[in-house]
Amino acid sequence: MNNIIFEKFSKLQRQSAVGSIILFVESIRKNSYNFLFLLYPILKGNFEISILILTAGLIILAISAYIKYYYFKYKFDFKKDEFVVKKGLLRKTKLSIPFEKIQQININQKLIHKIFELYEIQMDTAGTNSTEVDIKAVSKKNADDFKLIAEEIKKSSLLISQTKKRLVQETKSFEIDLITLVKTGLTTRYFETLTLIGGFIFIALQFLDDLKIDYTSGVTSWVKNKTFSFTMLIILAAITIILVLSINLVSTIVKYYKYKAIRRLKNLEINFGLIHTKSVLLSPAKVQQFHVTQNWLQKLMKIVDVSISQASSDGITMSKNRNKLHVPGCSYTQKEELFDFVYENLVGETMSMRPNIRKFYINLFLSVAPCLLIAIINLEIPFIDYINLSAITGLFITLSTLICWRSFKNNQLFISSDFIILKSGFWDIKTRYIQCHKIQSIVLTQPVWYKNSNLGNMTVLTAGGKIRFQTFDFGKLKTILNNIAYRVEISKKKWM
Amino acid sequence: MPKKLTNNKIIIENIPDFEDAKLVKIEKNYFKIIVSNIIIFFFLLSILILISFTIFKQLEGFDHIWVVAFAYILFWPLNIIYSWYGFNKRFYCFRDHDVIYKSGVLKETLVLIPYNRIQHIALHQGLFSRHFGLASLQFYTAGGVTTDISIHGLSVETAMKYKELISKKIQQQP
Repeated sequence: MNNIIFEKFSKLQRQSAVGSIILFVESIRKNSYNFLFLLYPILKGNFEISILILTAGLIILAISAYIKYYYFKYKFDFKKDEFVVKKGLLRKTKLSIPFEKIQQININQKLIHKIFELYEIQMDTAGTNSTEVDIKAVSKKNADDFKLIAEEIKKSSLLISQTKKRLVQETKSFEIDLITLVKTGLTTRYFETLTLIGGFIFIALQFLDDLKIDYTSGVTSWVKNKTFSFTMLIILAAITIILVLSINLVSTIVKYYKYKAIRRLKNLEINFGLIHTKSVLLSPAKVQQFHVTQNWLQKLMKIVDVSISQASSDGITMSKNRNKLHVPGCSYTQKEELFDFVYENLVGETMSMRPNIRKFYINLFLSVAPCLLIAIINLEIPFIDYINLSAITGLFITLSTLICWRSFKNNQLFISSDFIILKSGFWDIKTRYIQCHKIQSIVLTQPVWYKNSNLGNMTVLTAGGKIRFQTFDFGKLKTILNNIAYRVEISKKKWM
Repeated sequence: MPKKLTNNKIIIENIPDFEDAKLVKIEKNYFKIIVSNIIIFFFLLSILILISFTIFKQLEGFDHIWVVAFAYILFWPLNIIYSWYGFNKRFYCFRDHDVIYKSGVLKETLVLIPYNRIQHIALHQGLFSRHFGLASLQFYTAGGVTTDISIHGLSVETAMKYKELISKKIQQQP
């Protein structure tokens, strides 16, 4: 019985013929917004033109749906252990996915499928968020057979991973108390909250505009009456700071209340939340990046922020947020514990590298240029008086010089035999750890204007995000590229 | 924080250098496809512009129309010349354990994907490509769409050969 199914699917298959109707309906649904343009001639009174365009559009969609159906073929290649898709009329594509790379097969039935008793089959591979193979319409029997084959081919690769059964043994790992949460709430995410408040004010103003409430005259008269004094500014700043701090404090506590990590053999289960308890499972094999963030205030309090990104194995069904684990404020020992748990092996000896001083100059130029441009324009067409302008420009330039210099100073790259570590930031200093064998691909770029000074940029990609390091010595980057490539290629470890 | 040490053992000497790899230029015929694509696009865009101008009559009385038209006409040969430079900068290399693709005029970009990180491979053939016997290979990784290598302008035989070869290598992994 099985053999018959296997034989059937090892030949190129089309979708169910009724499937072209489903493709047609889907393309109508996708283009539904375009049909709104038909309203335009109707409003102008040209009803016939609308009908004409509508029929023409529908005919085109129908033909393309049929072409899509007719030129879409799939099969299982059991000799090569691949799933093969051939599609396209003008641009022909042949896609082959090795069986063991198939992470998940979903068999869905949407409303339209129910009418025709058809099924949709979706296939996912690891990493990317999109569905690799989407077979829109197959009959019930074919879907069942498909399931059978999928189970058969998955068995071999699943056998290995299922042999180790999870033990019920639980050991408590660590928890984060309220005081630490308060500390974290008061010391992190200033800029995010500030932009959030700014956005909120903007939306509020828009809302007032929509309601046709004229607030400008009120504000200007208020400003004119109470002359902008120094104390006024300080009060305003104090209000902003208190607002930001209290918002951060409340949101941190609500989000991370009762943060508790429980170790279950190979995984770490983490639960947190005051109103809505969230649960995240951390499994070291899936960890792609490990971030440690600390700012000056946190340094004083001896706490760090840790965030860990994992590769999703459940494909599209899992939302992106669930793969990112955030530990709000842990002590140094807790951080070490977590790091050991995730990576087991320590970083070991490292070689450190700094970017070229050009990075500072370029960043400084980019941040100062708009300000200088405004100043020059102002010389021609004065709109701010001279003293104010020079004060603002001076302040801006000093501030951006400081920021650029600090980010340049903090930017540092460490290479060890197993890790790539990048430190960056000007206030929140972030250290990112990537294990060499989890790297997916490497990109090395060199703009022409870096050629003379022999500089270049590099991007290292993992399934859980990428890291970029810019304006480094090109020769050294080449050596790093060679080394990473070598290490990935000889590595027997799995990346997830 | 990792300790600051400068110990060069972290960098292994005498490993294969990607610069030693013999980079191969893509097929000459592919430039014809680039040019035909540009020309087709030029005609479609020009027709669209002409139609919209005759219908809406927006530009009547606009003095500098000839300057704009001249710049528009001049843009396309320049585009072809730039594409020629870009075409000559496209190289690929299939090494024993990874694939390298290099491209870019103003910004030289080199992407390296080890075979044991490739998820799957797709072979594309456009309308013109089939006429010239060309094909393009696209390699997908879990790292995201932005750096998935797509090598255009391979001869069909080469593309088929490497697709088979690399597919086999992907299978062999543990």
